[in-house]
Amino acid sequence: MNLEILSILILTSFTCSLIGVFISLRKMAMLMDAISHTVLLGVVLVYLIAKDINSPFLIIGASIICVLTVYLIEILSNLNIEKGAAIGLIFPLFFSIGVLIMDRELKNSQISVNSALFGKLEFIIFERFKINDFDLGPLALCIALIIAIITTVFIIFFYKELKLISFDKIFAKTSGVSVLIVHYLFLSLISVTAVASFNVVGVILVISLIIGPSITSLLFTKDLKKTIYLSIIIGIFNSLLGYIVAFKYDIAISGVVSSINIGLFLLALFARGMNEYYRRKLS
Amino acid sequence: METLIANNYILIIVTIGTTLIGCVSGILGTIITLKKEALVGNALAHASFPGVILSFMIMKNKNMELLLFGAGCFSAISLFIIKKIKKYSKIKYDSSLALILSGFFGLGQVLLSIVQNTGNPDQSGLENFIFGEVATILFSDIEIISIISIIVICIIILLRKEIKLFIFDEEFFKSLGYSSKFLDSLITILVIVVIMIGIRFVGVILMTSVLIAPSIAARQWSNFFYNNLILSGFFGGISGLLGTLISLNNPDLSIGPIIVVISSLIAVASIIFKKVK
Repeated sequence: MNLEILSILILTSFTCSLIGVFISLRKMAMLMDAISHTVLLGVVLVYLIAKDINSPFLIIGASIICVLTVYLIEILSNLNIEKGAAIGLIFPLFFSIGVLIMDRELKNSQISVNSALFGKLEFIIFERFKINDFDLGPLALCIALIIAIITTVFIIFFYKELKLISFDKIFAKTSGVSVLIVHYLFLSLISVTAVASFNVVGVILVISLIIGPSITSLLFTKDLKKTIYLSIIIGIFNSLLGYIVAFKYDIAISGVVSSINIGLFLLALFARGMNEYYRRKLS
Repeated sequence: METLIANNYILIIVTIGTTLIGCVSGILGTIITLKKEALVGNALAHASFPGVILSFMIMKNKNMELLLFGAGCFSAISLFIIKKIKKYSKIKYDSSLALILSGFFGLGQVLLSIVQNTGNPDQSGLENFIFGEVATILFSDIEIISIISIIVICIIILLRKEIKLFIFDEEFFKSLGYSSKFLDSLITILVIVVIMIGIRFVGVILMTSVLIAPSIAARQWSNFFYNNLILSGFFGGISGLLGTLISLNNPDLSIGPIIVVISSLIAVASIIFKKVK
């Protein structure tokens, strides 16, 4: 067991399941998938300039590309192209450009296609965060902690506005909430989360951390606050379970966690269905 | 001329295969884009990944038909789960797509890491299904893929009137006595079949773009359904052709991303052209 890996995983899934509730409620799941894919292009472009995978500009630069993606998708939707098709056009293009640049320019560098897809949780703790040779722990742990704190503060601070734009956009507009500002702030937040999770679990599996716990909890409760708490609990539980299983059988951690995420959701759906069936039968 | 063909025999065969794949995905993509189900293909393609690995684990060899059969089975299973989630819960449709695609891809990664731990030397090449590859493709593979593509294209050509009615006026279509359930299932089966043969070339992650991009491009040039089908097939075919040629000249680039970049650029250029016009 490695406590450092476990804490990085748990902090990441805490952040993901927290923002995941709002992402599923606002029908942004596939948009989030697009964002997490284009992170690759952002990371590759910034890396070409900065030549350092741990550069703080990496998070900022890649997040800008993510927000740009969403903006492009919105432009295309306004040009009479269905939103799903717009998403399906933009993110493979950006992702492919990222992969091609990596194939051509970044052979044998710190980022590889494999780690971009699946994350490199197993090796991430070797990059340490040092101040004057004093070891403060793995860099990824510090980043995960900072992102978790920022996200929590943001959600607490903008809770009312987020709730309004998630459930009733028109009412939100009329009651003076500037929907556009909250929308873009939220987009920046999820982009930063996507970039930070990129290193940990890779572009495809981060979606599982975000969507899995939140829709599992949405099966059981309609209250927003309860959904958020339940989602966080489920997210942390799944990561813990996933880590234990992966450690025991020596298999890829991020893959196990996302399989557990989908497995638990289907189990919960089945259990709820059975419960309703029997309740109807008895009454 | 004869020696040119003889020297480049493999190259020509591979190019024919990828052009056909591009063409058939473009044509089928038009149908699913018009049905507003563009992203289903994305989920189904990702979900086919564990199928490829699992069928390798069971059969212990890399026989193409078996691997693709496994891929098709997992696509079908994932579609079944998506339908069940829709039926039994109020979870938003795109959330369930996102969950399915990441969950199944994660499962694929787990299976792949198990296979790699066993140290079986045959397993190298399985990860080619992620981004696609043509360098090690066999003539028999191209043969199967070409035959299937032609069959799919023929089915769509034969049923073009029914499909058109089904997409644009389902009520009228039903009133003529056709079964919309049957046609819907047929289209779904065709999508799964095209994904099965497409992932070998472009890979599971980018398959969605090969389906969607040509149809968006075609949509900018014409509003007629048949023209859309033809144009989309043409754009898809051209992307496949150019992509293969570029990839064969630059062996360190993966073929899937090249095809995607070309077909997306055609789409973006078409959108800009329409806007300017």
